[in-house]
Amino acid sequence: MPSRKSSQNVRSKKNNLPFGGYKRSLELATAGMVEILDIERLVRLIVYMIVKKVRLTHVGILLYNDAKKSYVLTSSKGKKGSVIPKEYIRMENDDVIIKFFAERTNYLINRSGAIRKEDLLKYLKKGTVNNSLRDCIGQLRAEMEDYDVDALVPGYFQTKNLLGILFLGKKSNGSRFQQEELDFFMALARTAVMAIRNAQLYKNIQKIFYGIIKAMSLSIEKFDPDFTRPHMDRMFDMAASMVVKLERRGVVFPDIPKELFISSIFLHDIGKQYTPKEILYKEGPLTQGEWAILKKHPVDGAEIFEQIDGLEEVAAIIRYHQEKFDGSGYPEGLKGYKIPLGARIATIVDSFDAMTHSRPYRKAPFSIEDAVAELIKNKNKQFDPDLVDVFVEVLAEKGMLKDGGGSSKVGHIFNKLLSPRTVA
Amino acid sequence: MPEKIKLLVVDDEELICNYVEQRFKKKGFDVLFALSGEEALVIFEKERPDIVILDIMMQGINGIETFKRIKKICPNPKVIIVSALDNNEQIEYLKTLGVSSYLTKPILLKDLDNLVVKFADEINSKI
Repeated sequence: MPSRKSSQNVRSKKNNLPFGGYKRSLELATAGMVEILDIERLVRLIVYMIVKKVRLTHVGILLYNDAKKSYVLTSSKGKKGSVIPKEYIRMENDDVIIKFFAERTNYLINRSGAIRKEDLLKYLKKGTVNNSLRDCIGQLRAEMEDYDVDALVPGYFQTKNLLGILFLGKKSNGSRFQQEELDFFMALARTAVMAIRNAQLYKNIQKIFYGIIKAMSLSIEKFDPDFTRPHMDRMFDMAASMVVKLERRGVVFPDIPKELFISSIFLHDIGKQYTPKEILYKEGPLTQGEWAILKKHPVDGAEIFEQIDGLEEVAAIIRYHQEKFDGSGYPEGLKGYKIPLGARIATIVDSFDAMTHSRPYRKAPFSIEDAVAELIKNKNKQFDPDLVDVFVEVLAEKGMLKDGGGSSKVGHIFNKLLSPRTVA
Repeated sequence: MPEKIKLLVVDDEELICNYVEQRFKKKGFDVLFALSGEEALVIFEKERPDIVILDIMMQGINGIETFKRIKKICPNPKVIIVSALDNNEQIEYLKTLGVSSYLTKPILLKDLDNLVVKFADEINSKI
């Protein structure tokens, strides 16, 4: 016995860092984890960190999935054949592994709270184990065998809810999991749970938020004849494409997520609910007095969103979507780059769609080509010239231009426009 | 000692093929795999597997088409569809084609095991 112990000590020193090493790598590994709000990225990172720390045949993360009401193997890595493909399997609450960890029965298999396959054997050899426990341990062993794992590490939130389980395959060098390694994994799991919960809550809030945005935009449909679902969908699509293109060119968007940024396009006319219907639906030109009333809608709309902390950018897009690049717009007569980027995008996308599609009270006044010519004519007047170029590129890429912006007369203009330029 | 039962796994994700292959090899099956419907048909024709585990969404000819063509080669194939698609219309449609075993990804491994064992028992009892 003594000889076996000493050889193990030598091996553990050779293959593993001393405890301080684990502590340090845990700190390194978990620093910044809570900042990541994308769950998929987060679990991939956790798997990566484990594989980097300890060489294993395979690793998997089983995570509770609200929609599926079960635990899904969400991320994995490892040797072909051993690795359990991600999103391929799920486990339900009646599964023995899930039950064992979820019920947190007060006996401990390992003092860290993890299960090591070898500990199960040791436990079975003890005479004190009653039949039902013996049964449970036997099933656990069989299932660990089945998944080809040597250790299972649970992650809980609020100390009692099982959020997920780490599946750890065999160590590549054939050695057993050391206590300090299990402690490391348990600590990692605790931080991971916090980070994952954080990301889940964030996602839920976002979902609710976009639900509200969508509901609000539906309410615009009720009073604004210009606002129709297809019009909004087209605007959304064009704006999204522009955002993607601009980001690729290194344009940094304001401090709001780009989804929110694009969603604000949906809401730009929400202030029109305060504009009398006689004015909104009037056929023929508006009187000066009527114009003055209509022109209030950007400010009325912005004021709604100025009530909400953190949505200042959305409010600004709504407030300034009728401003013109040369300063001749309303409500403030802002000029050039003083107009928020989102508002400069919104005005192009909105004008183009208004020109090229019918409204309930009129036919589409322009063909796509004529509308593009109109946008170009109004560069530096109504529109940001660089953004008009980007918009035309998007149209060309979507195949909305004759000859795809190739050799037609209009095409020549496009080709000139497509030459690389920087966007402010 | 009865001959080993031959299993064919069809999925365009290689990791899934590898995993299912290893899993059932350990359980004593002879396992082949194909990464596309086209490949599956070639193997099916040549090897005549007893049981097919078939994915639906694949590039080229998809699982449904593959199933139809397998049926032309063998009128009563033992096929287990494993697909991420989870709508009733799809499942109803598959039933009209004669699919009796359908699992939705992510699957419960015991469901897959049970279906394979059920088919294997049917085959063994015929021998």
